[in-house]
Amino acid sequence: MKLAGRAKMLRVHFGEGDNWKDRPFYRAIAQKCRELDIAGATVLRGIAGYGASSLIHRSHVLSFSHDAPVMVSVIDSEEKIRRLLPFLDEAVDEGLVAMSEVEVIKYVHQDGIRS
Amino acid sequence: MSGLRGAEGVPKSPEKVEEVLPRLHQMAGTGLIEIQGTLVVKPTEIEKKQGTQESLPPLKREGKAKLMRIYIGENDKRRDIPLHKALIESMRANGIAGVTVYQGILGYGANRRIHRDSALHLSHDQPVMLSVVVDTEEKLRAYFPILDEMVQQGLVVLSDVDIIKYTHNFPATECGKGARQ
Repeated sequence: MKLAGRAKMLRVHFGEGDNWKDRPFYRAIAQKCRELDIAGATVLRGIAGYGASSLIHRSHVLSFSHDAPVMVSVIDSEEKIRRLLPFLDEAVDEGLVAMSEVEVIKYVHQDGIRS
Repeated sequence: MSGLRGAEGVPKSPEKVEEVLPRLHQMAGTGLIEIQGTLVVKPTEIEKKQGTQESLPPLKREGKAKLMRIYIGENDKRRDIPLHKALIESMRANGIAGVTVYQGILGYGANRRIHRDSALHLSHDQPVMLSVVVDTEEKLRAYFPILDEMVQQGLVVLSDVDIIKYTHNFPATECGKGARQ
């Protein structure tokens, strides 16, 4: 897989407690990205935030609540990223999806380690 | 998009950015606020009435800058120390200021391993993202050969950002000059 020059970065913001078909939504996105042969996906957990619903998302150690804000960042060519949009249209009913321009400086992996 | 270092948000419109900036200025202290053009692909429902709030006149320090993001694994090592630590040290040594390391909870990259943070897994190979804001592209480009040698697998991307506030508590150094106007 080659990735170089101008590319797009897609960021999806939602809550850690959001589910898609009985499993965490962030896991579903990462898996969908793999299925679509997208170069990579990274899920980052925030410590506080608020979104479209104006509810404050917070990760509480004591309450075992899992509603921390979560962001998935996906970087690939515009064409590949656009393949992911129908899935997001269907799956995101509360959250935000934003796209921006990036320039890929380096994309490397160890040869042979592909599963 | 505006972000308080370590925080990111996507406001509804440029006007909204203007509206929240004065308050962010007050809150940011010596921190950094960046604004990045973003195309919203899927906005969420709820359209709210905009509150009529008085805004303080902003004391803007603006400038163009570059934001570099490096995606690696937490287990990646360089000479027996974690790669993200090695990168921070190397950037400090090369006068690249403003690095934040984020630990992810799940992800996959070039080699398609799934990095996962799970209590049941003993693996600690979570994704790590470093975000680096530098005032000039030249400065970053000069650092690329070193970066190139250090990052053996991963992804490095660059994007344009507008710096809104960038203050130093000590006399201006090379790092700060370019970002100010």
